[in-house]
Amino acid sequence: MIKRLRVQSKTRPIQSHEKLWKQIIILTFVTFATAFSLLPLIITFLNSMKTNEQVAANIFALPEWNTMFVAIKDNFSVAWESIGPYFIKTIFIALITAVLETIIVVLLAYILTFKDFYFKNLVFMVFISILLVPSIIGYPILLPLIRDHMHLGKDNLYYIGYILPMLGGCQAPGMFLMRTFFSQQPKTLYESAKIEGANDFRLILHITIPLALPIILYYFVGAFSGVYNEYLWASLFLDGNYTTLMTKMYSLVDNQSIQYGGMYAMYIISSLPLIVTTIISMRYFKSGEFAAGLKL
Amino acid sequence: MKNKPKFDEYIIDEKDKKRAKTSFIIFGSLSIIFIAAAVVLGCLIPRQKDTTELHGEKLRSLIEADSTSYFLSSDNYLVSYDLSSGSEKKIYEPIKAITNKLEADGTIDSLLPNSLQRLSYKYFSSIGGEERFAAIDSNGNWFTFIKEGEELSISDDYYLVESRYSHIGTNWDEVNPVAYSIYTDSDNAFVIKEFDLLNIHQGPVAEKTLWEFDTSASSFGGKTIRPLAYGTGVWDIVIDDKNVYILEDGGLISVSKSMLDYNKNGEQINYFKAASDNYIAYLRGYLKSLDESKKEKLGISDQEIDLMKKNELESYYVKASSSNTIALAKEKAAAELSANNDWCDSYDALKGTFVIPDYYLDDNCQRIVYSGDFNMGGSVYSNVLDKFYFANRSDDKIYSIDKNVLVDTSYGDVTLSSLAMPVETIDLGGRKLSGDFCCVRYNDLANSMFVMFANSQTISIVSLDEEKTICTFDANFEIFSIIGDSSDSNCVAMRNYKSVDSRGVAENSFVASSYEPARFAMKSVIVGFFVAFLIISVIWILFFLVSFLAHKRRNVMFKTKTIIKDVMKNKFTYIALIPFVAMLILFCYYEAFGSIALSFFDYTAEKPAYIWNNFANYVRIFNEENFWLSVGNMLFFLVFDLILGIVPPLIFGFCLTIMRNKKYSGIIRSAMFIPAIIPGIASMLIWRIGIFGDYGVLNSIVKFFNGQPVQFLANRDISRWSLLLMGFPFVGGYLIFYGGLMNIPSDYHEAAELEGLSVVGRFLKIDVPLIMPQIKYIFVTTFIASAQNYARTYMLKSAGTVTPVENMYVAMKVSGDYGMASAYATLIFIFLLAAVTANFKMQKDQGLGDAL
Repeated sequence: MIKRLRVQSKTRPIQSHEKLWKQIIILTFVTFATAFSLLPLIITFLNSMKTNEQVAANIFALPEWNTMFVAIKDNFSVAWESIGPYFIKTIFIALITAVLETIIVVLLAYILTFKDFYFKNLVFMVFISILLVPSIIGYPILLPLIRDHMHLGKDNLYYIGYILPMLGGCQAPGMFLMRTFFSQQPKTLYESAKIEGANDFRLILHITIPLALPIILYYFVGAFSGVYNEYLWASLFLDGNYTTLMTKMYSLVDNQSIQYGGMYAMYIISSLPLIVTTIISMRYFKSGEFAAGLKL
Repeated sequence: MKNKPKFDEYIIDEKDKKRAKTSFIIFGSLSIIFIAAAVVLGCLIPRQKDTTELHGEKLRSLIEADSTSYFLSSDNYLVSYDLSSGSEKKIYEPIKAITNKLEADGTIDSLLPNSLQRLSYKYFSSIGGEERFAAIDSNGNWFTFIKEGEELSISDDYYLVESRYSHIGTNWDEVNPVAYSIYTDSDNAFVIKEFDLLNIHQGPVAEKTLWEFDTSASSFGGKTIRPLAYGTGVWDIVIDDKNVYILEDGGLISVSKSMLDYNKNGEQINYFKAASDNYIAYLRGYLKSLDESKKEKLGISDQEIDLMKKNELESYYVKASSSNTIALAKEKAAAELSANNDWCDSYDALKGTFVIPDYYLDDNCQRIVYSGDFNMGGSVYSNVLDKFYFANRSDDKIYSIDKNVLVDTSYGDVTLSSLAMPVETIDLGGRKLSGDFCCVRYNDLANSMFVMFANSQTISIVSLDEEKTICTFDANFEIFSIIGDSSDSNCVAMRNYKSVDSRGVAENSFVASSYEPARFAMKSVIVGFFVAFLIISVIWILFFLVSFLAHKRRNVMFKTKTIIKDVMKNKFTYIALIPFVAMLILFCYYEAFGSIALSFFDYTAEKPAYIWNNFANYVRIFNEENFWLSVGNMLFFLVFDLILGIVPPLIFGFCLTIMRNKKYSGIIRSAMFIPAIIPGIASMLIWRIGIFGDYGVLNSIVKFFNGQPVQFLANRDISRWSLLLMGFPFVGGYLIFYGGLMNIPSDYHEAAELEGLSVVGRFLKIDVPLIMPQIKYIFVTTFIASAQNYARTYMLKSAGTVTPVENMYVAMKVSGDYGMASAYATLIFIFLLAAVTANFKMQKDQGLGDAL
């Protein structure tokens, strides 16, 4: 198929949009749009290497060679002192939550894809009907439920209370995503494995997960960055020393308790885990093939 | 499902019929048993009983006597409430009686009582089996009433005062009919008066001004001492044969009875001054002497005393020794001394402990004030055990101190450590004590104590005999005051009744309610079992109906058998599903429906009680000043978010597809991922400070052209447009369009080429219609996201850009008003209903197509 197309394109005449001047316009537009999209990142990167006065003087200026290393050292040490423990803690929370979310979603999707039982459609509808309700609607109930009724808002139960609703909320959309992929897996493989005497756990471990590994990895990465980036729930539920990185960063900037250089260094530190997640999800998304799945 | 049994082949055999019969009999009887159990449990659920006659009226006072409590209702009736039988009765109109009495006696009108502040009641066996009430009105006038049986009559014994008093506390002496009242007079003097109850009309038999409060000296030892004139009042007065103890919200004062006369003639000096060597300070109006020979006892060297003398005394640290001595230092001087001085060390030792005198009377006259981390949350005196109990809000514990210790160590360094022996703490399990009101109340009938916790509705009953908590319960309403009967099996609480009128103005009134603490402590368990039994009985009824029908009808029998077989076969699947479904219901469905229900109630972080408020939340939202502004903003952002979320990314995606240089297109697509590494919050903060800020990108450009710095976010005229600029050049969401465009078969494009369509024409006539599903998808998701975007306006702190969802967030985060937040949430949900339904339908069609 690919081969045939290539041969075709070599022989066919140049289409109208492939004319040079049109291509130049397109290239210019695309390049500028991309450059502007990167602007916040460039600002962050440049200014994390400058002293506070230099940032205030001209935000576009390149870092000066003689002050750059001192500035980097100062900025990043200030940033690390302010957010270091929160950074590590938040990664830890996000990892645990993402692992749990992935396990829950895979198990649930497995049950709702491969198990055949009588009230399956009903259960399925119950799960996906909640997608009708935007999650922000539930927060006025969720907060008192966790904090006052379940008494999870104190001592070391803070993080359990923080994680639990996320686990509850991830089920429906995650299951939905997984299920689309699970249902494309060959049924014959499962049937022959069953005949060989494999139980459900073996099926999940040896067939479902290996076959769907890319999407599971993608889901895990998405879940990680979701929890890592979470602000709304963290700002409502956690306070004081219990806050996560995002709420801590916001309050540092909001209270003006960090200077410009340190601020930008802080953003760079906070984006480190997301570099990994972005690289992974890029592999999945870049080709645009996933959109074929969006039948709509 | 393979091997499906076929209905046509199905014949009911006798065995099946028999089974169905036995099962419907079993299920029938089970459902009856469980319904009966649920009904019993339902009846057992504790409810508070509002006193019917007084409901909605303001209660002024709650007093107790044996097993009856008395209220003074807002229509000025004295109402009795029998704790054991729950019956109540309006028994008397004291104010009317007083008015009549004063008119009959020809007393002048200006002395008429306007409101009776506090009622006290005790039975006096010594005066002929009479029961007497005494009442003091807000002017400080005394009245007594005699009760014979059910009848009440005003006695001739009343005492009218000439000046106004603000705080009044009374108590009766059990043995001698003597009462003490304490108040601050118009000159802010703190006065205690003793009355002979049998002869009140003669006026106080003894009185004493404890100290006069000088407003200029309110800062004392670096801390602001709350004098009684400012405080919320005297909680109680307890007397024994030697002392009068005044429990006030600043602490405990004990006044020796014998001092009453002495101090009437005592020397009063009204300002602080260093005097001769022998007299170093006048404190709070009372002369303090420091004998040279006693310096050492205090650990004060000559040098320090000199230092104190040199400085004009303005702000003082105070320490008392066990004898009649006191030391003072100016705050500054103390700081200077702190480096190498034991006096200051001893001051540090005082920090966070009981501090004896901030003023000083004499050997038997002392006061304990809170200082440092001791924050008095009320105190009670147990006359059975002769102990005082203090609630300390700082560490949320109850401290008990033997009264005799207090008397004996009259001048001692009474710190908690020096009282280590007699002090015992009652641990309350880490709960936070109530901050608003007096959080402990004494029940002298049971020698127990009511401890009120943070939300003023969680209460523990602490038995003082055993010094431990008997039970803890939620009363489901905010308790203001509480009394109990002799076994604490029945209580009456005065509770805050908050009603909100249609303008959203809350009005507080008080309602007296009775309930049984023991049952309330079990409430959650009872309710849990009740709900469980209810659900189980519904299941039994369903089973019963099914098995009954199966017995009668062939097709039901068939269906039932198939289901049972299937369920039995997949029982592990069902069991495995239970935790998932439970989490879904607990964290998703409960929130969704609960939020809508909550929007009709008053429910705040401080007062977490469900109070129906007649749609006041909604009325408030619609009457809010910025309501239309916020709706306008929401629509503004919605329209532009939709345009900017679709048009630029679509064009960008299209450009990428028609780009000839595929390698460059790949580079661009990779580069477009890079902005995703910045966390959302960081990205918003970069826009707020790095781009819109005073030294940000935009102002740098403005400065480059020699313009004046622009307040992009604080200026109301441009802030909305500035916020729109966020995300420039808006092409971030191109991926879905790109994916869709790539999947259009090239045949279409070739056909367009043959037809002679230009690039723009092809884009509009072929590509856009073909990726309509993607456009619809982005439209709907952007719609939903835009209406819920609280962060943009909240985090950028832009002026005049308030939106409903930001109001909701602020209601939750800042004001803790969950009822209001729910109302906002419900309105937003209604607004989004069409969009979420469309979204749901799309997702369902996409995901269910092959599966179901």
